[in-house]
Amino acid sequence: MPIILRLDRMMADRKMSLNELSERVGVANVNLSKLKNGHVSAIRFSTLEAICDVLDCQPGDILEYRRDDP
Amino acid sequence: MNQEKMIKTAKVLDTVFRIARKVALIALIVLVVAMMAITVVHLINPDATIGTGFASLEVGSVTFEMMPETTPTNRQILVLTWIISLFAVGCGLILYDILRQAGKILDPMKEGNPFHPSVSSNIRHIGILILILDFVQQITDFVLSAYANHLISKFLPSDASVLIESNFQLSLTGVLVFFILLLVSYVFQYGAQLQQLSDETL
Repeated sequence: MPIILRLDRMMADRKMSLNELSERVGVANVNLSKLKNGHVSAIRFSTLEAICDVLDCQPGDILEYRRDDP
Repeated sequence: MNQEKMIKTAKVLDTVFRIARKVALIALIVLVVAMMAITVVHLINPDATIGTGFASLEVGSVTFEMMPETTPTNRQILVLTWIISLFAVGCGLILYDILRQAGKILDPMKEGNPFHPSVSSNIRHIGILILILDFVQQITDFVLSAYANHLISKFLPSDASVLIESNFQLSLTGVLVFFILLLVSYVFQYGAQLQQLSDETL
């Protein structure tokens, strides 16, 4: 998948644990872990909005596009 | 609300199918055991009368009284009974598998999710079984009518003529049901893909 989530980097910058983020965003710990490890195929704007709100960042700070090698 | 109705209906149907499966299985076992017993009795005592005997033969509104010397023998009656029983067992086994597959379809529905990847393949399986069941029934009709024709021509007076249709006719009902179920299975397959996409979306 060329879209990579840099959630762990942003969480480290904000010194926030996965449990705290899951509580504040309102997403289950397991699902947030899947999101962090790139095991989801899509993310809702509402979820992205909640994460950006809690981490005080832009979507571009946690989403990265990497072109697949041909 | 609709999901609750689906779960409730699925649970009720599951119970009904489970009971029907048990009844079908018991009926099949009883039939096979009964046929074995009749055959054993016939082997021990070939002169023992099987059933009520074929003293008369009804064809539509006409009843033919048979002369004692033209009555079918025990062996002929046994052969006819075995043919009917074998087809009945075949149809019963197919019906049992249809009920089993229907029960499998209900499993994910009982949990509130009808779009499980296994549902589409189970629906397709039922479609194939219905097609086979229809085909077996057609063969049964053909074989029994052919055998009845043979018996009637053998036991009626030479100047009498009775005709029972024994041509093989392929019914389109089974084929139609199969294709409808095939289309429904594709709908469920697509539904399962959408469900997976939805489950993987956060």
